[in-house]
Amino acid sequence: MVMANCKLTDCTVAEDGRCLEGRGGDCPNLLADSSPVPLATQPSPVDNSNLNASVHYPPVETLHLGVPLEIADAQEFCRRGRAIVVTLVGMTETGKTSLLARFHQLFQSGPVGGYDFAGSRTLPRFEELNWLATIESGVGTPRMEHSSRQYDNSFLHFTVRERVIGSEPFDILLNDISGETFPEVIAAESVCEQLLCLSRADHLAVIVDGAAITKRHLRHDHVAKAMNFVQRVLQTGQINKQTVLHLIITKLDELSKEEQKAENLEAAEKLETDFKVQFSSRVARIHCWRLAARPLDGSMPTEEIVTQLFSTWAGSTCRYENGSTPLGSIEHARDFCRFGS
Amino acid sequence: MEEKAHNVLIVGLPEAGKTSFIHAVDDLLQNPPSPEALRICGLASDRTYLERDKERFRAGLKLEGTKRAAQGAPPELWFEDPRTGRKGRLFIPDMSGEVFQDQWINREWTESYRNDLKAVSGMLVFVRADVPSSNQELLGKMIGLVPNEGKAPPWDPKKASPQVQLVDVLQFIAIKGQFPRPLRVAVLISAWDTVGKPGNRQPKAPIPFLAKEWPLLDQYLRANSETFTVRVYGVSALGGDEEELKELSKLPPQDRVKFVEGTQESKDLTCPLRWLLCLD
Repeated sequence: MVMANCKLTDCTVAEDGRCLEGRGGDCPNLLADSSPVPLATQPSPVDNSNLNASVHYPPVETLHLGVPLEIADAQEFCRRGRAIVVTLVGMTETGKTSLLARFHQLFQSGPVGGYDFAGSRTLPRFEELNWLATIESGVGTPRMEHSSRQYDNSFLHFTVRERVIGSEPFDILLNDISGETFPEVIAAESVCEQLLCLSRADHLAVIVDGAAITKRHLRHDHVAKAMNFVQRVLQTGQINKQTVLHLIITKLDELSKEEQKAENLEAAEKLETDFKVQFSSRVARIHCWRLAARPLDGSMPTEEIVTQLFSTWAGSTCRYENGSTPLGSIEHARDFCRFGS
Repeated sequence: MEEKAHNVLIVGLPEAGKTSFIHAVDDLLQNPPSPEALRICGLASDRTYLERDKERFRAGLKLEGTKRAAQGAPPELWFEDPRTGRKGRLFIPDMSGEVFQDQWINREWTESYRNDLKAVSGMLVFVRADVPSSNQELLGKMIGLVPNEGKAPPWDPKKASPQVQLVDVLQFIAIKGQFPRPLRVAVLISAWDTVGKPGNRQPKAPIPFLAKEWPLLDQYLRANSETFTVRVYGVSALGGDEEELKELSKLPPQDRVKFVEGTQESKDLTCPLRWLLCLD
């Protein structure tokens, strides 16, 4: 397999095939270097030690890589039919990745919210995200890697199909914006404008760390940043009255601990109320959720709530009202235009 | 008399029971369990591959895993359908499970494999009844039972959940393969003898078994009905585990096999092939 190099020093396209700007093979920063770079991070299972130059390998064909999809790939999905884009944002360690990993785990146990798993181009990435939460990995306590800034303009992917006769499969594209980027968006509009996927999002999920709400020295900053983020993206026009807004308070196990429980719940309720008061008239709908995707206190994940959340994402949006035909009233009738350029 | 060639693709991860099944079908064609069952109508000119492990299989011994490297002529079985008089040649390349695992890990396959998909009449997908389909998640009371010891081992795709690997391999076929759709797919749940053991609480019929024990695969196949038409069977090509085979081996191989479709038990392992090849 051949992978190009990039003239941008931060870009890791030569190592993992990911374009920093999410532009794929059309990126103007790619260098015309065709030196082959092994794509797989794993060593080849074939022992090459005794091979000499005269050995001929049969021609091979590259398959989908399993890494997060770039914007160009997402545009393909949007062109071919119904595709729902969900953007997840939040501070670092709020549980965004745990939530994404939970969807993958749920599908491994059966249909989720009335939807069958019909495919995914990013299964290896989902498995990688889950690895340190499995017994096979050998860890004693589940760990989760932080979402990387590298994936700000990329997507995890599911194809699903509702379990009713006559339903059609459709795609769900999950855009996970890193916790490092989150405060920078609030700080600078220019950073916000680099979030190219956000303007195509049918759903924006703002994740707030329930554990941070329980800590007085963190609570106010986390709450304010969640509000500021929405304010910022409304101001830039990246979300609007066609976007469904979700406030997701994670780590319900921490939030519900007996110690100062009333105070914690009151703070959570105030945040939810403020969200509704401030933003209801400026977005399509607001949903508030409290969940635990991967609790560490010995309790089990709130699978029912996670399932409802998934089902809400997969259900009707302002772009698609229970069908595959985009609504005529939507701005930017050609979906893929909205990914920015 | 027409003698049509049929190519069947066998897909499964390592040790899924693919080779044992081929041997069992070969022996069953030679000793059909009923007057209507498919039967042999001659021996293929090259049976080298089949004869290599025949002695071990008939003795009820565990077969060595199939090697990745090319193995010469693929197993070829000549059969006749007594109900119609139709004869055919069945090609079942016994691909190593590691080949499919390599596809998952390296994200590539050979062009010749892709080209061969054009000629397949159907696909046999093997999963095991006695192997978990997913890695177990650290949840609830299991958290903290094992102390964290230093750096966690790096992600190794080879250790991904088996059903995830298998689904991705099928996605490769669905996305890149050029074959008439929908393709008939027989899912064979091997080691089916383990399901009936005392204390086993798994579903006793193959379809609910797949839905409960291999849910991702089950959903994927059902949700892609434009690409795959699926039937699910339980099979035990050997008839039992190593210990049980000490006793079972007094029977000829064709009498040891177990086969389940729906709630019906029989010994006719050729049923899935009959369906795949549209002989019914």
